[in-house]
Amino acid sequence: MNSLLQNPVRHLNPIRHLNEAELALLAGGETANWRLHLHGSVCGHCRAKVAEYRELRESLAGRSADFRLPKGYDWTELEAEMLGNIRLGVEVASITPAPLRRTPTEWMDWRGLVAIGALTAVVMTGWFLAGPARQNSPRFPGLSQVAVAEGDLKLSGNPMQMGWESGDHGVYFRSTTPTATRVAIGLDGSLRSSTVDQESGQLTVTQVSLGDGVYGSDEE
Amino acid sequence: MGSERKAAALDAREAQDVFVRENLRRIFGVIYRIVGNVADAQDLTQETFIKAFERAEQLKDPKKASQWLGRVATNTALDFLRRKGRVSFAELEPNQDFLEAEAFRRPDAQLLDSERNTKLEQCLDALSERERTALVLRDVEDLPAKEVAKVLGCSSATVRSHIANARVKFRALYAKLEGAR
Repeated sequence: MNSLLQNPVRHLNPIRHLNEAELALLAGGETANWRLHLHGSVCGHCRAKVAEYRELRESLAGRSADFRLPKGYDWTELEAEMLGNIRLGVEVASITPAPLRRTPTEWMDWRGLVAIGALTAVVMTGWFLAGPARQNSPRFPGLSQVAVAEGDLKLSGNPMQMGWESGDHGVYFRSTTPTATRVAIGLDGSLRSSTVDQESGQLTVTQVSLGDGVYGSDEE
Repeated sequence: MGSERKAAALDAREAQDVFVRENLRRIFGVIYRIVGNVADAQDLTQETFIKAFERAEQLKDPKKASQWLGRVATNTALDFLRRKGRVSFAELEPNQDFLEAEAFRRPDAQLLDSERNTKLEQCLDALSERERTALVLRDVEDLPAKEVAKVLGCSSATVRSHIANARVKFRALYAKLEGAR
């Protein structure tokens, strides 16, 4: 409407004929533009062209069955083959349960794949974080493995045992219960472990040291 | 009771056969014009009929069965093109198979076949894929422009442009062939 107000002469000029695209749309009734309809009804030249387009359009209507096949194809053979396959397909469809008839794209589209992928990632992450604890680290608090060495004498400890060894010999204090054991290195180079018995509440402290040859186990 | 059921099943099968025979060529023609090759058109035609029989309950008015089947065929063909990544109807050259193809008509049509019909076919075949699809759906299948837009997945303005271009090109080619007579 703005362009009409800006240039009314161009829009209402009966001499300016419609272009080919406008004529083609007018012939098929695909335009609601009143200017095209007005011009098409008053201009003999354009009316004749619209009539030509209409005639061609009408000659195409219902021509779906009129087609040409490439060389080497015989419609009779194609028709027989298709009739047979359609009969077979309908029979199969009638005895196949509905879910089995679905195509892969219907039940395994990208959303399904994303959901399965996300679920797998969550399960794998959870398994990785909570699963192989026996190999990664102990469930007990404290250090997993500590060791102090001087010359060929080495003190070492883990939540299950602690002690010392020199060459082929060594002494280890083993924990009698699989309960929480804390192993720590002292500032003086000693090792100290503490275990609390879950049933009796008894605390067992074991300490070994390199310096003054002290070793022992106290119970409280 | 059992024989009545068998008779009813046979009647239904016969009715299906008649329906297929009456529409097979037309449906194949629609699909063939859209996908542009015989092998795919054959598969998709079969798929269309099987799908139509499976969804027969969707058909509200049996008088419009033929028109409804045409839409199932069009959607099946376009879905196929989408799956093959040709949904955008990108610029494609006119199908040379069509241009070089030997004229073929069914026997009854051969009698009525005229120079004019051959020219119309040639003009239609010379259009690009998207122009031909738009024109086939609108002018051959008589689908409303809005529905053509819906089926092609584009706006009404775009589909009007495709239709207008197709008609202009079609008319120009036809005039050229007429002039060369």
